[in-house]
Amino acid sequence: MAGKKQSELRNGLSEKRGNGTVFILLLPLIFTLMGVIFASLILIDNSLGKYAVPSLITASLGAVFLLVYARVTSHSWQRTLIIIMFLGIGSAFLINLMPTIFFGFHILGVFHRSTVSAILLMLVSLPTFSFSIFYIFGATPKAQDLSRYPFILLPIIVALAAFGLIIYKLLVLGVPHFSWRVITSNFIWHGWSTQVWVNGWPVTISYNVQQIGIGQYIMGTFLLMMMVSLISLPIGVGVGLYITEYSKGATANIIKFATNSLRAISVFAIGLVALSVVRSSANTFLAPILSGFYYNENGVRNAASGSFITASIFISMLVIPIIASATEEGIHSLPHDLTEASLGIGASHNYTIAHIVLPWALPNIVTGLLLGCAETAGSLAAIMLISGTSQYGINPFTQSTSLSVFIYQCLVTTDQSFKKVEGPYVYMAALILILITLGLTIASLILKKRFSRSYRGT
Amino acid sequence: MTTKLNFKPLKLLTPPSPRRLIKSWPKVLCFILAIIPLIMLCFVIVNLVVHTGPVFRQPSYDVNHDGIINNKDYVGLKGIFSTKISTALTGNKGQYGLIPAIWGTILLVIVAMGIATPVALLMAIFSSEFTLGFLGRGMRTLLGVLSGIPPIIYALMWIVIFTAIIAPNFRPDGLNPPAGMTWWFSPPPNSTLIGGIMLSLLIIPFLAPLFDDAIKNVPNSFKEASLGLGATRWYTLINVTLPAAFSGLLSGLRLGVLKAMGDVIIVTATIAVETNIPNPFFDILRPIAPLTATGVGLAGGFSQSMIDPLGYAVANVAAILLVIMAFAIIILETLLQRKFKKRFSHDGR
Repeated sequence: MAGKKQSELRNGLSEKRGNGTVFILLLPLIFTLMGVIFASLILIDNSLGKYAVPSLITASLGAVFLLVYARVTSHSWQRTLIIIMFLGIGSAFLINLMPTIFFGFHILGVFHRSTVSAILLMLVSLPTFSFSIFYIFGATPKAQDLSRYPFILLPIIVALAAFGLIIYKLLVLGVPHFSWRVITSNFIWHGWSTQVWVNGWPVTISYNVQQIGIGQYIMGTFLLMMMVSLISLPIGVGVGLYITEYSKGATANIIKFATNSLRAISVFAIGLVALSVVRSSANTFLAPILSGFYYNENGVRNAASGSFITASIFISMLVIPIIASATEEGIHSLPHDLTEASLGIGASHNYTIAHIVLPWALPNIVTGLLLGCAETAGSLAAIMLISGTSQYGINPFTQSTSLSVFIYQCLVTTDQSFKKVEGPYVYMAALILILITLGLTIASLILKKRFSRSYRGT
Repeated sequence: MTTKLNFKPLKLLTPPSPRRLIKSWPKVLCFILAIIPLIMLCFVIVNLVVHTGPVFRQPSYDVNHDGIINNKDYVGLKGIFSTKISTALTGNKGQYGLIPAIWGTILLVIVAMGIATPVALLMAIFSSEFTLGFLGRGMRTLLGVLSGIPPIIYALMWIVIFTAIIAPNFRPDGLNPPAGMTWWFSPPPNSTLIGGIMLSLLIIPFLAPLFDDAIKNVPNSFKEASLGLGATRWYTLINVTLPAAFSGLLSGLRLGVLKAMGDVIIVTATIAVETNIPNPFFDILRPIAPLTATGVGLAGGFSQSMIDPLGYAVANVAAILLVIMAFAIIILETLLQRKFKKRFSHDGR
């Protein structure tokens, strides 16, 4: 009975569709897709001249074919859709025909004409495209779902194209300047002047020693990562353990709130506090630790503007919440059976934590640590006010620096000679920074996937 | 009737026995480690408050980097909440109104989240509901990788997006104005729009996995009930899944807003520091610096020697305003969560 009904239905549909089914079905799809493509070409190329006529023709043809098809098959057809279509096409025509100066206004003043007409054509072509998909798949609920895909996919494709454009440009600008010599050597810039007597006259001769390189920035990044992990790993794990295992009352809530708030408040506040700490510690016994020192080319000891120790303390404010939440997540995924079995045998609470809970949460902790290292390599706002070119050596007591500090310096500096010397290598430095952060992120993703697979199985 | 009073000794006042203390050393150690973030937060806030001192002090004199004594006017709350700001480092009568900066933050958050939220939501829908098998999984991995790109990269590459989108479409510079006419609109390269676009590129890979998780956490029984009644997948998504995932979406949105508000580097590079309110005030094609960029400008950027004490204090006020705004958003989100919690719960209660 049901089969008969279905076959009847199918026959009715094919009757409605007519004989040359496939060809007629594909016409509106092809034309509307071409309309979308032409509209995006106008946007990309930003010229109406080449694409205006074909895009208008394809959009209107697609719309007309869709209308004819909907009329022939006597599907329900939306009045709003028709209004949108013809308004869009008509206004695109009008914008193309309009003179450049219109009632004393230059119509290219705010938006480019091609942008407006491309957006209008997009507004026409996208609904007609999705409606032609809807009709081709038989106007069923499944077809309705399928017809949503253009609207979902288009913004995603645009966003991914923006990311692709950025990374492509970075590769184009960065790869040609790649050289081992620049990577491995430090940036040095000493200048001094002496007075000599020539023919009874004093003459000032200035010397300038320069070495192009980004070596100390890379080493500074790795030193920062190491020190930040040293500080934030015990604190982050301690927070995670305390709020899940030892205390579940108001204390745990307060600590959790404080830990999350460290990331919620702006990084700018943390950077400002770092600067104030360095400034107020000047001329005290803490100065060599907090503000740092270096010996210049003449062997004279100078105070720096903020040491690696200060920088790592203030960056670890951003990394502690990451490790704490990772630890918490790992402990929450632990099945209750294991802890109960351990406690039931007679092991103490602390023994259970040391031998059951922490080993279970270890992959999560390592994942959090790797993500924290990536964050450290990229974080700049916390240390931008206290760091600089640490050109007199890298150790915990010298001026803090990292690759992102170098890139920011090249961006904002007014020192033209610095820009001239180090400027070409800023894109290479950005590539190295991306390699470090993406490597750490991908490692954490792989680790998370791998360990979660092996542990969940048990 | 006699009531028997049962006095319990106060736990705080009685010292724990040394044996018990020794036994619970891991707990004590964890507690000491766990209160460090709390101490850090308190230290940050107290330090910011303490360093706002010069703002509220009576007319003072200070020496700028050239050794010239400048007469600084009293700023006070009235000076902070005024609409005028001018660079403090050079002028001898600085104006430190933070209203433009607050408006800039609001405008920037609106632009950035207006771009980032729909795209991230569509990405989450694509990878969780409208999955094309491997494509959904690939999208999730790609977003995980893209979230590792640090903000300084976007700050460095903003000119690429500018030349691709803003310059040809919104700035017809290549076209010369006709004789006797000037462009009645010619925005500078720095603008809130380009800042918002770069910020949304930073936020999208961060926001999409959160939305994805929120949509995935909706119990399958909800969707199955809707699909079983004959609703389409799109109808189910709009009317069942997204309302049920509202709490997760809202907490993701809160994190995105906080990230957009607190960003320093991208806005400093793309939008100028210390600017007045544009005319009209919602003009996103002109620069209007948010609180963070204004604060960086007042704190002197890299050049520490040029810090103007009064400007530095105003920067602290800006940071405090940011902290207050962040906490206000957290409280607002909590209230909204509480309001909408009863609508959908896993037990159906």
